Amino acid sequence: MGRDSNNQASGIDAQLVQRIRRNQWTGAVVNLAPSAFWLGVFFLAPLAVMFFFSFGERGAFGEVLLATENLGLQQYRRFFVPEGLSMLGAIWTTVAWLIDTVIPGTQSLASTQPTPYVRLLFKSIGYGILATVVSFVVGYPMAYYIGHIASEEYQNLLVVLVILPFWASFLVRIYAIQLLLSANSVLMSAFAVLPFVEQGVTLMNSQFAVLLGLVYIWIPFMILPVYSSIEEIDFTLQEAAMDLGADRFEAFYHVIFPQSKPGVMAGSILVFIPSAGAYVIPELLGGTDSQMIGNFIADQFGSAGHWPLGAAGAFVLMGVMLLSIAAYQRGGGELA
Amino acid sequence: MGAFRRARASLFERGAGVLLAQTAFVYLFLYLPIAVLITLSFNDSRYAVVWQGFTTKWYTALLQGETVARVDPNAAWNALLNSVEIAAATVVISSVFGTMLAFALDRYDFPGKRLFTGVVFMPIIIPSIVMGISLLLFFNIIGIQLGIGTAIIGHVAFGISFVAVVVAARLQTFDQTMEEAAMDLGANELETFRFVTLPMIKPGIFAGALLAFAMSFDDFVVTFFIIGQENTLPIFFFGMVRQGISPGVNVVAALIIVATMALVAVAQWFQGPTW
Repeated sequence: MGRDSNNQASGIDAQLVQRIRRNQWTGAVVNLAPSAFWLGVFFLAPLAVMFFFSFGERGAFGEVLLATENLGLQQYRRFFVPEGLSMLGAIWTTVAWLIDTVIPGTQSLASTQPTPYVRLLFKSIGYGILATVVSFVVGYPMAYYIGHIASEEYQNLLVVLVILPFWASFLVRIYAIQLLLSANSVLMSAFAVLPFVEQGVTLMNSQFAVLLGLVYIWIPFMILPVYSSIEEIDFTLQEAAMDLGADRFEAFYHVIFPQSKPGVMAGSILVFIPSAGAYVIPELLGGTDSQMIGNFIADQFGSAGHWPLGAAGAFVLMGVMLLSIAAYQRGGGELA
Repeated sequence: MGAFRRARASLFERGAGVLLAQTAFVYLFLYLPIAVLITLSFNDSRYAVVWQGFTTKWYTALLQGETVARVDPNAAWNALLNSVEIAAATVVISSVFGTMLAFALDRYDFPGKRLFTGVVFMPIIIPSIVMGISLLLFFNIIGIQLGIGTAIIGHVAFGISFVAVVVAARLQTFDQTMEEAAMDLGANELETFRFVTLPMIKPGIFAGALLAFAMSFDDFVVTFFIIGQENTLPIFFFGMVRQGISPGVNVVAALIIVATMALVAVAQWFQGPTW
């Protein structure tokens, strides 16, 4: 190729390059393309596959039937509607059962129980709510202390001490809880001094162990956002309130707490979502009575071998997460 | 009513002391299990939970390559190498792609941006179990052999999101007039990025990369479903824990937690509190 034509070509190339560079879309497309590809192919497409599976049916040998005549909502029906009930009946049964369970002393409103899957779902949501409430009650005062009362020079150190466990290995920390709760451990021997606790008793494989594990792992997610919103509060407002006649409690409740609410909301969603969707914690710390929806999903793809039902369960769980995020955003919360 | 108000107010008067006690209690709650774990790794007993006296024999045995109570140090070492390999690849790919993504989200408006941003957040918030199983189904259907490669692919899928969120947060406080100044002085886009933008957002990228590394290195659930026959450190450890408490597991656990916490403490020291 001659030199001239080469120059000419590069001249046209340069012009083209200039035009591409000036185009407002170039930057967006170039920067977005790799991530959009990766998330599309290795995140959304797999979810779509799973979603498709959730409309399928299980064959006689545990295989998944996805021919047109097998597709339908049968797995979701199996999940939500007890045998022999209509849709309305299922809704009533679930609501009645929930009222029976949550409010003590109500006479059994429900004549039949909802499906075991629905009970498991609400149990998981219950674990998530409990873990969130406990984290809030335990974590809020601490965040308040770090953000407002502790002296400036220690503040960073105190925050790092909250962050450190969160970065350290998740499984190892669950194992550490196991060490504490198993029979004859330091903690359990200490409890055995109490008159009503027997020697050699264990708290392992219980609902308590699962709840403790959830709070232990996720409480930094409550403390950190609450801390950062408390740190930004202008505390002269508290003095102003007290000058105007509020006592300390009123000043806190009406002036300070509302301003820390964004942190509380962010913390709540950050604790609730992973707690309700937990799999490893109930697997390692829980017993047969403390398994959660995550374990159910895993079982369907493992030993129980019912993939379509497992896929349906996964999307029900995702629905719960999306609902909780929608509630969070409706309450004025922002993502990130 | 007045008495109640006075009691309430006086509790709040003495608030600082109560809060200090409460804070100390939470730190105890966070660190006591870890302290007990490390102590028990020096416990001279086959039944690892009851204290029988100090010994370093489990450490020496494992470091010499002997199997202690079914814990094979060579398998642990291989698992560690796999974990590091996966986490390193994940960090490199997701830091580059995630930073580019953060720029696109920060600088450009495009149709469907809100929806796309939602999708970027999803890998962080959906339960790992759903992500792991859906990837397993996907790899099965398109016929990719499970292994280290598929684990990296899965980890990058959530690593990108972590990096993008952290870097995007930094970009919000970024002063764009600096870039304009560089361009006015004749730098092209790449030079501007290399010499102006990158140095300024480096702490953000570093924080994002650190997070991606930790999430990849520590991930159990997603990896468990998509790595096939291979092992990573969390998977190896999970297998050991399933078989029960033993001195060998205590030592491996103590080593993991001390090493990771030391690394993170150093990173936090240089970086300031990062989460």
